[in-house]
Amino acid sequence: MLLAQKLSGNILDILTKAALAVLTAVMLVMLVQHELAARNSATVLDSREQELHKIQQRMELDSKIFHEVAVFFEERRYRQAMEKLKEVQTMHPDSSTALLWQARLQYEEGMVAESLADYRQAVDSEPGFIDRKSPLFVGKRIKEKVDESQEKLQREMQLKPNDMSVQKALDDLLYLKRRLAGGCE
Amino acid sequence: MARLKLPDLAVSTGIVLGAGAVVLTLLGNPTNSGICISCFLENLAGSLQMHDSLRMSYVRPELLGFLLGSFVTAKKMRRFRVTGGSSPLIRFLLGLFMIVGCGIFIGCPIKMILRLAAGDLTAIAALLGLMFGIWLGGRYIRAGSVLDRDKELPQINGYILPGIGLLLLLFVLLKPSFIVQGATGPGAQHANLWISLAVGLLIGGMAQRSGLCITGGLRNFFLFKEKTLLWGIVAAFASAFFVSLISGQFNLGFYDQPGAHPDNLWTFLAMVLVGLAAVIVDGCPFRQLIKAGQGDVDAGLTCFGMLTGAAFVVSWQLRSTSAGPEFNGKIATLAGLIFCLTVVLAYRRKSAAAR
Repeated sequence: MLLAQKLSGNILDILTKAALAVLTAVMLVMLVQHELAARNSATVLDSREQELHKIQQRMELDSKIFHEVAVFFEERRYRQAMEKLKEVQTMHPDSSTALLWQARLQYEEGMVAESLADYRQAVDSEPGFIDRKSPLFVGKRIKEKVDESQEKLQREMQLKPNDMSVQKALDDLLYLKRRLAGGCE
Repeated sequence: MARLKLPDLAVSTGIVLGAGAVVLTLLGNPTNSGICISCFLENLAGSLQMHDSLRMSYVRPELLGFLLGSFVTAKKMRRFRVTGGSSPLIRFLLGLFMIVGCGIFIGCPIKMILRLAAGDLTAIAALLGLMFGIWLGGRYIRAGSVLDRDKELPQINGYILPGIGLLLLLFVLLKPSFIVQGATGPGAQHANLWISLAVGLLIGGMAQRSGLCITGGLRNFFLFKEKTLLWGIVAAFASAFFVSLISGQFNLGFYDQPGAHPDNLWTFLAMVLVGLAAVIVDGCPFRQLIKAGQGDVDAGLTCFGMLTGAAFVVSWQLRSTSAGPEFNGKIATLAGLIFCLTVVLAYRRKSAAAR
């Protein structure tokens, strides 16, 4: 009786171990086959490549959409650039690149507070603008404008210490400085 | 290492932790975030597709290093003891809420030290909050609010989390298609895989030997005036400060600090939550990983809670941005504090009834 129990116990253990080995082997083979098939397929991109591909497509589209705005901007014809930008914005209301152009144009027109608010909105909707790893990165240019704005705002603060719009602009400026400093956001 | 006394070990672990974190930043990790358990768990959760922010997705080798370094050291030093069974669901939820608190501050207690060492004065509110939370937790411990005693469990239980760590390491190396990684954002900011892993393994092994824990060090000081681990924390701060200073990363001030926000009240409250929860579960998020590696199944369950919390923090916006804490995060912080106080109250009644 005892021997029979021992034998059946041993057989159960042996069968369990054999099943374990077979299941592990099958799982590994399936996994390897699946990964090899995925890697051999030219159409499949990994998550990083997909993300970069999307950004690249977006940049190409943006360069077409904002071409005339960019030309006017280069020629310092800011009024015409703004008018063209408004046209583009009606067709592409969700474009964060439009916000970036708006911020640039407003800064050149001397509207510092409005420019900072737009930079903030642009960065919020597209963090890639201040991300060195992103092809969209324009952080250095934004930082330049933010630093220049700081001096202007400090003068404004001395002249109008209780002005809410200056306070709001300062809030936007400090926010942008924190974002430009980096971190894991 | 085995010949070092515990205070020396705590200090040397602190030095390696602080300096290692800043060096990892120099090698590619996000600014002031060379080592941050909550940020790293958010990245891991993203990589496992537990949330859909690709920018926050990367399997941080440092995390795996902490876990496996602790496991290997514990096995080698015959300190691998498999225990568990103490209030598992409570620990799971406390782990989750700890990460919510970290999400509101934007960083775990280690990152708080790194931020302070880099001159970020907004982290002072976090330090005060953490100290208050730990002090409060200490008061409850003295009053008898302690979770149930753990018990010895079959060995297999202790191998599960290190096994998962090993599996994740394989994923990092083999890069299967279901593990995603961001090409931009924090997920793309990382040091070389092997350097990150080596630093993680070294710190994990040393922390297993020394028992270094940010909240534990402060708790021991408040409760027993015991300074061993406290010196480790001071050493971590000092080494991070020194390396930040010589590498030009030091920037003293309240403004233009990376990964920071100006809402000091919510920073304080969030770190009260982290401190209190950490005292109840007996260890900060970093310590939970180390304990999980040395066979503590309860800590392993807390780690699962932390990982779940990290996924919710991102997908439910239970966190702060540079603009300040999100509404959902404020509510979650308050819910976490309510949960912690309910737990200590329940266990206080239990211990009073037992008397």
